[in-house]
Amino acid sequence: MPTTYYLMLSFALFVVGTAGVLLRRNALICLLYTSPSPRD
Amino acid sequence: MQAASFWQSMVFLVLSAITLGLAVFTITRTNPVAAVMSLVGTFVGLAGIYASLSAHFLAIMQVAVYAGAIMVLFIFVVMILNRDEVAPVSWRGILSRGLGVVTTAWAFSFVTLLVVRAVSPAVGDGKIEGSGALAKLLGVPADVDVAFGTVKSIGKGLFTDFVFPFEAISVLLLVAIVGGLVVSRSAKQEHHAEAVADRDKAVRAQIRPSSIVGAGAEEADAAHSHAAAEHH
Repeated sequence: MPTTYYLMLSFALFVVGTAGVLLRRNALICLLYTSPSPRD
Repeated sequence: MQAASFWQSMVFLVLSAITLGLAVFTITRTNPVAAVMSLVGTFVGLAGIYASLSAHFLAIMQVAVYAGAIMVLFIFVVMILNRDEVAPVSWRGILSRGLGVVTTAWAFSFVTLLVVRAVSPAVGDGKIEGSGALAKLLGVPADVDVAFGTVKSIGKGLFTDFVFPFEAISVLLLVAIVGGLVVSRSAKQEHHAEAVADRDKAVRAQIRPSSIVGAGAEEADAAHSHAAAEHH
């Protein structure tokens, strides 16, 4: 698999986590934001 | 070889769809238990992606530690606290926070592009492949070594070549803990907690004088023993 695919997935997960933390303001979402993902 | 590549792509696409879908579910569910269960599914999907990259130890740790231990703890806490359902999106200050999301996304993509350009000059044509320089930097070699993904190789990598990213992620987790505390305790709750604390303090100050309490207790004991003596 091209590495760009993994980067795109990690980017999408990062954006979802950021949106969750900033828009929803729920402490639970902070765990998703920092969860081990391909971006790590 | 072609068939193997097709199936690898299919596995990646399915796992990515599951992971992303459940991540979106996590931030859109109003029921906290449903959000936590979606998060567990996200972690399992990520574990599958790790396993498809031959990082089996990492996949097992992902399931055992995150999905197995931390998320079970979360589920217990959520169920015991029985917290009210909250709206998926808080509309208060939506413009500034939406701007924050866009800015963060832009910054992340900018940094990613900088890293990719620094490592592989061919990225401008979208030609990054699994066997390229970036793939080697990210630890995704074309021919996977037998020792790749073992406890020994991960431990050695964490404390030698990747010690700085390892410590940087520790700082990120610390920031997340502080952020969790700030987010979970709103200004309204804080004022309420302070008001309750002040009230308790005032009540305690009224009851406290121990000399009065002590004297009262002694008087009561004396009266009780006197009454008992008279009764006998």
